[in-house]
Amino acid sequence: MKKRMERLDDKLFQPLAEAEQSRITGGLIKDPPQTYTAITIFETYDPAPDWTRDGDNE
Amino acid sequence: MIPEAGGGEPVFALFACCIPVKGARRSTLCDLQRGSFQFIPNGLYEILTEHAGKTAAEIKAAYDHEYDEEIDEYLEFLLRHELGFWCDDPAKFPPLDLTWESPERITNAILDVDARSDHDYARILVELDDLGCKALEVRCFHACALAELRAILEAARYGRLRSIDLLVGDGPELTPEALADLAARHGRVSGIVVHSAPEARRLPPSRTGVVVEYRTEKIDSPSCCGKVHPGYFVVELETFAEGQRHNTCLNRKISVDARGEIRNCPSMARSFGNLRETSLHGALAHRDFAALWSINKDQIEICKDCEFRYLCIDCRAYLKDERDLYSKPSKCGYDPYTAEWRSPAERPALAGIPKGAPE
Repeated sequence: MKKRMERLDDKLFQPLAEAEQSRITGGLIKDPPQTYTAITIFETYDPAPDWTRDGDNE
Repeated sequence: MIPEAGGGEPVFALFACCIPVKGARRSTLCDLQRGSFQFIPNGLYEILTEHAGKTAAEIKAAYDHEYDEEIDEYLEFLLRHELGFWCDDPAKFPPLDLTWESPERITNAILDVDARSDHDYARILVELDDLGCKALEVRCFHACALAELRAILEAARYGRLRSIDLLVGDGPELTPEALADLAARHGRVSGIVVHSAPEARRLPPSRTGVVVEYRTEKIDSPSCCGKVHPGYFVVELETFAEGQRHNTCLNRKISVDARGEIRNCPSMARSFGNLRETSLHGALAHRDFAALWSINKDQIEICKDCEFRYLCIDCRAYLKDERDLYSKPSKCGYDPYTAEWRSPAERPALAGIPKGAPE
């Protein structure tokens, strides 16, 4: 059965606005625009890891 | 760039982590690696599923060349968003196995606390450890003292929990500095939300990566839970796979309410015993405890036609029809048949966004 093929620029297919999806962290990736949901668990997050100690070169 | 027709023409294949989900009015294309999704027309869903493995020319021919322009637009869109690629042998790129398995008997837990609670935190944490629990949400409905939070976190210090989320009532001791210090001392803390605060603010992540957020909303009972909103969608492989056959809220969950009653979720009426008389193991051993774990979105009325169904954290406590365990969550205002939220005023407000705020 043939289906009507809708155009992607229809409002229905636009990414959600930032306000519609924000929770604790996250936001829109602007380019290319898309809906983005942040992962809020940071198990091993370290903004300044010590790359000189990698287990092999102790 | 869409290849020209000719011999040995390549076919378009989605990346295995990009999975289309059909809804009644529109579909989503979930990128489980990036943690994002795109809305796509159901026509494109049909192309990606029923015409998978065909060349562009074959797809256009299948529609009698009535939609050549739209099909070209679709393929360009998929390429531009890096959702798929052209290849000669799509059989070399099999789909992901969405079987969900977990060695833990319990993966997540909720512990409710209020001013009258007398929980034995050490015992609860030990029992959760025995069950393999990885994630704990502690919800304090009252103005919390730092000492109480420390007592909970100390009980978890040498356990196997991987993440602890704190929801606590505002109190004079809960300054941003004190909470940042708490998070720094307890590496398992992954997020802190302070409710009943005089003003809403979200602090930038500290060095530990923990986000501390203050909200004005008063959260004084389990009834705060169960909202369905894009802000609560989880776009990642584990939830997506779990949602194929299990309930994404209740599966492998155990909860202790503020009075010590053990339930699937603190908002659910049924108790499987009080911690004073029953262990978490004992409650879990009850033959009905896991009964709700397997209610998946494909079985729930209306949700089964929703394009968000594998991203949505369901709710089985607050239902449209309380007599029907398979009715949609009452706190969901989304209509998948029109792809509209019921109304901005009824849309759940999140992160300091007042209800009905203009977008």
